[in-house]
Amino acid sequence: MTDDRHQIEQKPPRSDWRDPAVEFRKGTYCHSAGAKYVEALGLPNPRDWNPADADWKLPPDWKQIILDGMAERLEKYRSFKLFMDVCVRCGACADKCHYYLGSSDPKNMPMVRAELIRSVYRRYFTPAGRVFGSLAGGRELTEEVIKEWFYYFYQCSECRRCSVFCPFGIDTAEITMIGRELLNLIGCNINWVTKPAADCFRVGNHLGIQPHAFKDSLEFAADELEEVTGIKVDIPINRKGAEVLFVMPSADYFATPHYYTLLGYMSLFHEIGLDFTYSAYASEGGNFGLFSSHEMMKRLNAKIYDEARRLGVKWILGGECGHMWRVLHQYMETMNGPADFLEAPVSPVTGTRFDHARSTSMVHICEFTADLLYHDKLKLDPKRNDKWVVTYHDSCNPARGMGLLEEPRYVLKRACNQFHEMPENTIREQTFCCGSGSGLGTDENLEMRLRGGFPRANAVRHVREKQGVNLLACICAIDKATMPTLMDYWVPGVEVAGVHELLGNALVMTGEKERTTNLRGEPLQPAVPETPPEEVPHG
Amino acid sequence: MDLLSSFLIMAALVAVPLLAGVAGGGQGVLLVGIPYAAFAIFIVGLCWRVVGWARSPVPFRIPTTCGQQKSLPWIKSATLDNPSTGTGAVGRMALEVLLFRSLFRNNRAEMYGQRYVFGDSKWLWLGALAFHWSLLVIVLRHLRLFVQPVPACVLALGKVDSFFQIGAPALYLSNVIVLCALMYLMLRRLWDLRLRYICQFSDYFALFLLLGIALSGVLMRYGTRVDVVAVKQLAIGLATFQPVIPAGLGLVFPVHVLLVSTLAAYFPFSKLMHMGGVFLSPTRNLANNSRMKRHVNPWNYPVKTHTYAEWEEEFRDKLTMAGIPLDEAKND
Amino acid sequence: MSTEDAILERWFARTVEAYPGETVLFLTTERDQFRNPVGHILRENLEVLLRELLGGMELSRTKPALEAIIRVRAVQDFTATQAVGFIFMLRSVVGEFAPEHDVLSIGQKVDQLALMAFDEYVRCREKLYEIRLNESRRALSVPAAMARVGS
Repeated sequence: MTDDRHQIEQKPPRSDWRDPAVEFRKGTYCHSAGAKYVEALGLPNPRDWNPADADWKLPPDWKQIILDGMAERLEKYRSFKLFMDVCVRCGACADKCHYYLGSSDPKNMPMVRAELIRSVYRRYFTPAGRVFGSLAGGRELTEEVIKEWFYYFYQCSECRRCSVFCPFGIDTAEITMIGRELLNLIGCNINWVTKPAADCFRVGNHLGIQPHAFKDSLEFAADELEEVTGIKVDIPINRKGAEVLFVMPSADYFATPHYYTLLGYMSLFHEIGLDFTYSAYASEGGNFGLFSSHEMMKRLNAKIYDEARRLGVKWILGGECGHMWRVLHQYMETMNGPADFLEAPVSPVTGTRFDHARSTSMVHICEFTADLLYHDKLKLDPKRNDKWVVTYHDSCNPARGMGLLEEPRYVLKRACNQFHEMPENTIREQTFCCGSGSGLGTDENLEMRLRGGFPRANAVRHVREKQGVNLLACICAIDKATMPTLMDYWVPGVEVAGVHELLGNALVMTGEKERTTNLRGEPLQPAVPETPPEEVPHG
Repeated sequence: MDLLSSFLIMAALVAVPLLAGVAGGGQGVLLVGIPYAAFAIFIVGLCWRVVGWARSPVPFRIPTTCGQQKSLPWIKSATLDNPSTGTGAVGRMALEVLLFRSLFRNNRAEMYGQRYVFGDSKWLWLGALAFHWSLLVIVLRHLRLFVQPVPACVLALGKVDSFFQIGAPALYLSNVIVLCALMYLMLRRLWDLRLRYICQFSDYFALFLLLGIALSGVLMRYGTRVDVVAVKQLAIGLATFQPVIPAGLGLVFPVHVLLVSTLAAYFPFSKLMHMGGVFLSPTRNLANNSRMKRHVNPWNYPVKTHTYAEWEEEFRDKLTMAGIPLDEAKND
Repeated sequence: MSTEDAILERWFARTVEAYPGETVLFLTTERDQFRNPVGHILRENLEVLLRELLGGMELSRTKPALEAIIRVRAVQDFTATQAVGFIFMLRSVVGEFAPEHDVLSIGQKVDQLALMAFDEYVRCREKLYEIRLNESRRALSVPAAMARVGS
């Protein structure tokens, strides 16, 4: 019969996880940080280097730096110390990582990812490992191991999905964060994290948009909004004495489709007459410090409270962004508080006191808007969103670092007539990451991102085929930047939008002209199902 | 390699007391010296590890939220999966420790064609739960050997455990379950290549030890019929620090004791410490109330920031040009 | 098990052998389409391809099935030949389980599928460049910001 000369696929050899060798293949890793950005932030070992090179130009005492760094962090973080000790390798997390599901690389199983650093911990910090070495699961710390860490800790989007299923709550995000901190100590950073952090530190936002350009952007947005609605909204910047400081991720004012969400915020604030201000100094809610070190997170985050204090506002309102809210919710007040100069947030329209945010004094815009809608303070015409059949992607951080699940859904269901959930094990606390979170959304890393985003896209494809979904709503700036790419590749025909873009479309503003287009400038058209849905959509 | 070495050590642990038994020596070391030493290591080691964890602070409040947060009064929050109060967090921990809530989350039972399929994870939850609970029952049952008079609750537990009255001595349900569960936990490590990839000495060794302990115990009860009076005499002697070595303990009993001692001594140095660690996990035992109540980081330190004044200075011209209000007007 | 099922099982098994050994069992046994998206896509579409190969080779069915598989493999750690190689395995698998089939016609159909697969692979790789470009456009799309950045 036919011979197998055509069989080019070989069974890959069974590998040993202790072997640290990795191949830096184009498309699957991020570029190293440019020396000038490392320097600008005052971080160690600025130099030009490339992960694909053999010589990483590590400092001569790199090994001691790493071990000292580990010792310090073991004393500072119970999470780190505990997570180094208690894993029983039960495997519950194995198939929970989107990178593992998309790449099949066994080192992407969360327990193995953690084991990469755990093995070094055992070898140098536990009696059993010091005596018995590899028999006790220990591994020598070598330069190869550092490269392996770099490869795999920048292949974890800190989405915390594995942590949901772990019987001990071991959070790989926590381990990855510490792993990256250690790498930063010897100058192994990635550019996509370090450059935005450096720009944010100096100028105020990740893209380094300077104050005058910031103002231009917002004014340009106001002009666009006027074209759609016939209403000219105010752009208060750095205005002292406003009641509320509004902070959003900078992508909202320079990237699409984020930009349409900004138009949504603007319409909302105008309609309810909110007494608020933007800030050109705190012009970034996002925080790429989260993706490099706790210290950097604190340095970048400090601006928000400082600015709130300087402007004398009563409380802070935050826009749609995922990791921004992880920082605001779980870190900000601990790091840069107490926020005793602010008041417990009260909605000026409904009088609702946001008691759950009384100490931090910062409210998520979805919480704010859901409250307005619940009290019927907004007039909506959901028919204006009828061209969209919508599903909602829970962004990792608001879902698993906060529990913001119902508020955005409430807004969406009021603003849209056609809404369908994705399958149960892919949403809410079990949501799949976009595959580009934690600073990995860079174009040189595209193939890895597409692998990581595949489980999410697969669920979107399901609702597209079943219910004709053509819009993926989300509340994360990284989602908005990278999901369109993901959809483009995996599920063509599905667009991405922020929740407040859809709200802005539906919002009936006092004195507006008759709307002929949505915020994107596209004609409002009735929904024409592109694929005949197998089930009748029940909106 | 790890499998082999753990098996060899296990074999040695069985062989030593058997040989000693045949040769008729070393009883004092095996039945008194080693158990005392092991127990001491266990207690000291356990404390040392737990204190070690407790000494590292929890700088940030980082619960993994697995349900709706408590926000607006009209939105129903998940009080156990995303607790906003201390009581809720205790409830969450109770679910976690007693029922393995997180493992349970893996559960899924679905129809595929005409077939009803349970994933491996369902079995993992069931296997883990069966093992841990029966182990607890067995440990509590053993109290009857160490205390005189035997507490009523321990006797009652034995009654319940042998409810089915099969054979004589009556078959303990927990013995059957623990053996099945251990076999399952062992086999899945060998069967699932993903697990075999990461399994280490410690994983196999702990399972071998537990299997050895369970098998030797079962053998004594239903097979060689150990002299329970003699065992109790030894156990009470050990418990009251007046050790005596009665005659008639048989060959299997020292094996059982050595394996238990090894497990106890190995415990603090191994992953078995998850027993203590589960209570301290900051992603589970904290309430998600970060925005209601400030969490204090004991080592919070000042960092270098880019202050507003520095920023205004740097961008003064551009701010002025754009008509953005300044804090400090400069006349130059 | 029917012959067709047997062929499919073997073909699937040979196809997933290209993945790291530790993962093969998972790809094969986990049937939840959301927990095991790669395995699911492979299984679902290999089945379509096999049916078409033994039947009418309807382009409207073979093309989307090939697309779905290749789209996944084009971004995984495979070379071009590895990514489409699974098609060729069909020849020996069919020969093994169903020698009664006309080898020549099966061989021709396999070749036809393989050529389509190559096309699809190239299309996917080109798509990568296209979406990369689209992404950078979106990342900086507000004209005012574009005009003034860095000034």
